[in-house]
Amino acid sequence: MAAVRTADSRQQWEIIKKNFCIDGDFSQINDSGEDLQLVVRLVQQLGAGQLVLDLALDAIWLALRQSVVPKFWQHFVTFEAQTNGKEDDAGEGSVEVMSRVATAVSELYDSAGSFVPQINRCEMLCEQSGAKFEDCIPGGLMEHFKLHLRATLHSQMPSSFMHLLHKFYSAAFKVFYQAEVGSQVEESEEVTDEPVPCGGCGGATDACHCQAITNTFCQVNKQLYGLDLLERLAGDIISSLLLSVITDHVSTTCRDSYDQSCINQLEKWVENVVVGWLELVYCGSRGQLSSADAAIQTMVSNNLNQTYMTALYHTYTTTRIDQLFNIVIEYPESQPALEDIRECLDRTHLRDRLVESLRSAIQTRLLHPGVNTTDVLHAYISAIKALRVLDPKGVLLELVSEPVRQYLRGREDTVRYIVTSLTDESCSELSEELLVAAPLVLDDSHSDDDNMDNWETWTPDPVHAHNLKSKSQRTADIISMLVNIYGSKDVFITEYRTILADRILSQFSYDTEREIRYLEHLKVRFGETLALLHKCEVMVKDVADSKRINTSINSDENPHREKQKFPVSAMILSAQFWPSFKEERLQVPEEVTKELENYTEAFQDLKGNRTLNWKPHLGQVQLEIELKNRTLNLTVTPTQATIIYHFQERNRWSIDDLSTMTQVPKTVLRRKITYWQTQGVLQEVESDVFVLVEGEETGEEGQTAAAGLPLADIAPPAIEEDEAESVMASAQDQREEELQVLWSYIVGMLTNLDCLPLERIHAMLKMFVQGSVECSPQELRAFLDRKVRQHQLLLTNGLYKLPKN
Amino acid sequence: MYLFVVEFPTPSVPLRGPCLPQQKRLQKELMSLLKEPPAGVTVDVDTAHTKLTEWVVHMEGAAGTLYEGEKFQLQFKFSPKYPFDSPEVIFVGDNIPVHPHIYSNGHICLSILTEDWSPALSVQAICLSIISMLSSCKEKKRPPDNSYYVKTCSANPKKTKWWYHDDTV
Amino acid sequence: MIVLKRSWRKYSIDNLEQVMKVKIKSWTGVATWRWVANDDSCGICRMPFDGCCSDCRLPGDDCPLVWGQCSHCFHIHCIMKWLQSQQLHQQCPMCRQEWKFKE
Repeated sequence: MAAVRTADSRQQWEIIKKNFCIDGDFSQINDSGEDLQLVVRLVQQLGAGQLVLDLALDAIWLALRQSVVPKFWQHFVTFEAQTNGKEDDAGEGSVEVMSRVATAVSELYDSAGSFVPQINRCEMLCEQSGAKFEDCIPGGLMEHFKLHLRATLHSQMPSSFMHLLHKFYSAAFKVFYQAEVGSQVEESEEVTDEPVPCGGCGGATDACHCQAITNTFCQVNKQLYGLDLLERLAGDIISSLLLSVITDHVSTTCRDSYDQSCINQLEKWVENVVVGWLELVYCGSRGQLSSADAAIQTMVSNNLNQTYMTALYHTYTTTRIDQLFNIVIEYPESQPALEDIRECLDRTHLRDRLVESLRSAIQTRLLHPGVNTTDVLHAYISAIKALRVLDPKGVLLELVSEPVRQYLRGREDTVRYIVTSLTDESCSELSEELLVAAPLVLDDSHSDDDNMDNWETWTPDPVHAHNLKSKSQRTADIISMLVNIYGSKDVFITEYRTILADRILSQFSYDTEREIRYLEHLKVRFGETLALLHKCEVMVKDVADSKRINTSINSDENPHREKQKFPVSAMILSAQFWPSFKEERLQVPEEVTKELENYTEAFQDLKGNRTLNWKPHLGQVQLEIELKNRTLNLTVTPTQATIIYHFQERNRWSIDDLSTMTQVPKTVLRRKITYWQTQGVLQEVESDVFVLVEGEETGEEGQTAAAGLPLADIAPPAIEEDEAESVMASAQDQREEELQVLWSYIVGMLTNLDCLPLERIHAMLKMFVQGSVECSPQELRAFLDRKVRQHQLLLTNGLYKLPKN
Repeated sequence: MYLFVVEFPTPSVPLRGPCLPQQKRLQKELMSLLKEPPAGVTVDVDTAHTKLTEWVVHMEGAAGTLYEGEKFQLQFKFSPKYPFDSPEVIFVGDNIPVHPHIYSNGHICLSILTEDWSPALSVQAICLSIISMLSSCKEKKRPPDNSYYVKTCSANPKKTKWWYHDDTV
Repeated sequence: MIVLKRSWRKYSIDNLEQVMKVKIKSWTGVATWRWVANDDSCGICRMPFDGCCSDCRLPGDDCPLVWGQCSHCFHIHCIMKWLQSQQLHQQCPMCRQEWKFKE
């Protein structure tokens, strides 16, 4: 004490130096023997508070930089040198890492702790002399010290450290995870007597050092936490371990099973693992969270909700997005998965990605020539239903399905498949849809969008719904959606009419009950007043009428019947109501012509003032063909019958002669004659020359092997495949015909009025062709634009006009 | 002034609607008149398309007649009973032809427009009759009772009890 | 043996035409019906005769044609409507002769 007061300035400085370790010697800090209060007062007297503080702190920073931190890092640098080249993540390695980290951290903790008295001293100096350290960082000098420690550590960190630290935490996490999750698994698994390595530390069961690892781990965390280093050094690792285990768990859970909802279970799982791990890291053991600092509690709960739950939703959704195509295809089994996705979509920003990914999956997996139209349609229907689950407003559906619709539009057989499946009981998916007794909602119909009655329940469309069709159309039913592929009922009913015509003229069944039933359903769905449906009704009625006429003409009382060589019946059509027929010619044998004429006469007698125009190539003929050693009973087309008929007169015909005889074009004849070749009745002996094949012995090519059956009463074979082709002009051709009618009107209008915009042309056509031809503005535009390309029309400033010539 | 502007979408109605029997025939007639009009006759599609039951037909005086170069408009109105009931046909617009059978209010004294009407007739047939009536005219003058008639007649010429005095003009 | 077989085959080909018989057991044909009339469409409603008048939905029996003694014919519904609308004379719309149904 006296020494302090009396010493000369040099001594005083020495004292100050010693007490504040200005020379960097911290070894005697606690036994300087001086009264700290006096030293501080001395400093004050000298007015050197700031100077001393600066020097004292510099000395600390220097010590950190030159001794404490390098010593800490040295542990790892040497470790790295030792293990270099040995790439092992196995248990042994991690034990090494564990102890190395533990040693290093504990040494650091101790040496940092040794500065505490000095820090306290400086703190006192600050208080009493008013000296200030740097920019007076809040939290006091201790915080300032930790900051310096962190900064120094970071500035000297060896590159391999994070890797090691990661190993350290991984090992601990593995032990934790094993305890946490393994315990859940064990309950269900059978316990085996086999010694299995511990799932946590990888050591043998009897030599498990899980507990040791956990203990070391907790100690290290505690020390790092004390130094404020835990979050800084290991924060990222701690969370990345959680995130990666979440990702793994989610993708295993979601793998290939869509039929169970798993999001709630996943949420619980995540909460459990995250809270458990964070407790272990920050509180030292499980179940301690409730008694921990409020700061830790807040941090854990914030992290849980903001980081890990978000990660869960994100991972779940992205996993599902990658599987979405399959999920869609597997609807309705995948309903639970879809509901999960819907929930997660609201919490993530993955809508665009979902749309993009599904569109591209559809593009690569569905929309290519290798996929049947039926499969594309099936996928489209599934998509409609599945995406409705995801987004009842239909915005997603609209975005995703547009390319499918466009693609289907380009496939020629689409309408036919849709219409066939609508009216086919074996395809229940669609035929059931037909039974939904609701009118269609079509692109070109105006529905309740502007309906103000429901304004209270109106909700705006999502932002990404721009440029989409109106709401009601997006939520229309399946059949509406299918019809909307084309945007017009007429295309559909035209196709239905063709299919109906084909069905009637290939089956020759006079049973109309089924067709009447479908027609009734179609009327409900497509509207009673549709002119084309009316035509279909007449077609079906023609069948019923024909049945009556046939019965009447072929009845025993009818005098016409007496001169009959074979029974003739007919399908009598009302030409105005049937689609156009493909024009085909056929001169039937004289004998047949006579019988048909007889029938016509009988019809005239019956119906007075009405007569018949035969379409000789259409019909169905039952033949009995007697060959030398067999008899064939066959049902064939008139053309086929005529061909074989002529082989009675001559056993050898050239295509040329036969074509002259029957008036059937040679190409058609060649196609039709193959039927008799496959029956083994005709044989092509040289190019385009056919001869009759008699017995089994003549079959040199072996193709008449079937004829070996003696006197086979072969059941009438199904009419050959190529006969399944439509006898009607294609729907496209028919549509073309209708558009041609419109064209003549348009020319008339433009001749009169010079030039007109699309809307006016459409409005006028509406007036002229009301009830006969339907044409949406879109279709009309496409048609007119085609005429422009063909130079039959000019388009300037949105006005169409005829070119001058 | 305006807080917001509400835009009503133009409904794009498909080419269909309730179709009265009468309309089918009018459609057919309108189209045939558009496609093959008699010389000097053009139907004003614009008026016809908004209301199929009311047409305006433009008519030009035929070359070599008293009305050469003149332009007239004929208005046709069809009742729901058409074609069993004749259409109401009058001249409208600035230029009413001066003709012994045409009154200055546009009414035409032509038997096929009333008692000689037949459903086998058509707009085209009426136009041809009127063209021929104009073409055969030898002197441009109003009917003798013009001023009395226009004062007393109904707006609808079909309400007039016509006395067809002259079949040659 | 082989020689014998060959000669048999030759024989069978030569006799083919006498052997095969095609017997038509039944023939179902397809035909369109039409009215035997001078014109294609009705002078009153302008609809094709083979369709139906503008009031009808079903052609043929449900919307028949009738002939007048003047030989003109119309959908029965069309001519009846016309005749009913005429108080004084019952004339054929085409030729203005007095309308009498052809027996």
